[in-house]
Amino acid sequence: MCNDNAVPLALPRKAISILVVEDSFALRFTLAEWLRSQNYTVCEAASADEAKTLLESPFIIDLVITDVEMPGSMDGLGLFDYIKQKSPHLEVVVVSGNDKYKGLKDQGVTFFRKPYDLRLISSHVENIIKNQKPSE
Amino acid sequence: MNENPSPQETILLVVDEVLIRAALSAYLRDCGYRVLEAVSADEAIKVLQDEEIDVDIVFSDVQMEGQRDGFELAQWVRENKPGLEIILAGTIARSVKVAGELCDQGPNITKPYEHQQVLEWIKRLRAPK
Repeated sequence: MCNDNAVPLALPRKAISILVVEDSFALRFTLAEWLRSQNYTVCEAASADEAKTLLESPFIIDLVITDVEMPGSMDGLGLFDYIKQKSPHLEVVVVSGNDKYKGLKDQGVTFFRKPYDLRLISSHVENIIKNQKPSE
Repeated sequence: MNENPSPQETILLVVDEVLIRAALSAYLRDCGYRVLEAVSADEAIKVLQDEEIDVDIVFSDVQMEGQRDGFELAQWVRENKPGLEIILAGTIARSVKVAGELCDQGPNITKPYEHQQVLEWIKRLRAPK
């Protein structure tokens, strides 16, 4: 609930928190809104650098969905490597409109080709979360 | 006592510092608003040009990276979206004064701002006149 006197330092844990990393506003907004409509808490980053800042902050992130080609000091693959190094258990879903990245699937990376089906994304998210939290 | 907006009002939050934007947007969503996040004035203008997206109020930092800053965004809003409320937040008192001249409801907010202060400004601007 909104508390006029409180300044939240972290996202509420009442829902699973997903970080969407996408430089295109339209795609970021569409995916974030869809996931919120599915009752997830969603945090948005417009670059891998912003995502890294959020991941190093007190914000709670349970899952990352990242685009690959983005401006900044690192791209989505750099972010993927950074996450796997720092938080190997944090699940990452990679999305791209570029076919050259579809081979990532063979390396065990969860990959979706853009344009993706939002229902397919949330279905995968649900499966990942179920596997992360087997019993609560 | 909290008064949630109804029906859900849409705030376009234009802040280039991700931690500030994420915390403020989480707070405003928690207060019942629909929040669209833009990382620059240029991105905000793209959002406002999209006829399928209805925005009720814009909250923007003054100093931002990109081709335009918050002042230029406010100027664009005044010229292209007359009647759309905009709140500008700046770190320098002088810039806040200029923001006041650009926004009908000025002089707006100095940084660092409290989330509650932002909420009160939004409620004040959206209150029936």
